[in-house]
Amino acid sequence: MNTDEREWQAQELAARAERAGNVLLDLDPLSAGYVPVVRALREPMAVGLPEDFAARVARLAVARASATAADSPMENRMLIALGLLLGLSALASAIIYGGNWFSAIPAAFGKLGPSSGSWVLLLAGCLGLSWMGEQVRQRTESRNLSPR
Amino acid sequence: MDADSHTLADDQALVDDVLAGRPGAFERLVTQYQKLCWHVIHRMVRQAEDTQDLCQETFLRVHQYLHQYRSESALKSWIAQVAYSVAKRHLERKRIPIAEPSEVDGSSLLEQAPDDFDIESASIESQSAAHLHAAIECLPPMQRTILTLYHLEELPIGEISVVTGLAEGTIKSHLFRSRKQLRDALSESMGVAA
Repeated sequence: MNTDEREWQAQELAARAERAGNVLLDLDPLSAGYVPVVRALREPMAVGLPEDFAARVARLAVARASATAADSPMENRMLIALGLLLGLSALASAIIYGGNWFSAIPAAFGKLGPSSGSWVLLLAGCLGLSWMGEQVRQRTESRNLSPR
Repeated sequence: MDADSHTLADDQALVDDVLAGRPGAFERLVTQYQKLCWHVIHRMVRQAEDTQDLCQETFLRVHQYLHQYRSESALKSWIAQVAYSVAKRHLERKRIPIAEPSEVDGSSLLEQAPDDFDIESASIESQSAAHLHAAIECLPPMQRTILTLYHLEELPIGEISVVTGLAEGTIKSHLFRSRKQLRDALSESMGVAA
């Protein structure tokens, strides 16, 4: 058994003795040296919460849950309606103007000149990086906010 | 009833009551675990006002995510985990380091004791305890919390690993070094006193 292992055992023995309340029984000097330490660590801490803390937090939690439950169905319905509207608009526009857009794209690239391709790539790269950054931020935040 | 005497079945019954919206169930849960929550958060952040706000935030989060609780671990550990995560995020936002800056600066725990800590006014009998409490306050937040979870809350190392997200070996290493630092601080203070 090396020195650290022996000292760990002494710390644990002191902790067990203090928990059991028989600190004076048969402790070697190394373990006995840790008794005041574990005793201080086990001393109860004053809790500075108001007497009605539990009742107040419970009321707040229930109120928040009710508000969320009331908001969610309406928000969901609105999101679905807006999504459908957007999809229908996009479909109608594509049907009406789609042919013109496809024929106009090569001409537009021709007007922008030879360097335009790299600018488009740069823009796509920026958008990609920004999207990835947001994903990382959201993942980190959700990991920190919610219990593991 | 004390939180320590709860079995997993008791925990699950309480959780079921809260999730079913039974009147008074969540208040009962808060009453049972508010002391644990205070211990974890106050050891991390030390400011009483911040601790109170963060305890409230913890229980609101517990209420919001309670459906995710699985009774594989004790509810006590799960709530301690939420409290630890809330306190850790608070310290990170304030850019307060949570672990071990004291190891590199070389100064002893006794030298770091706050100036307003009046050890001299304590009686002879309580001087060593006063020194120790001053030294505990000087440990980094993570070490203070691990010591509290282990000695005051009596959580096993495996559960502390779940609470903090640290490996069991790391927990043992923190426990070992912190307790050794505290014992050295005590020996040093007794030497100074003598």
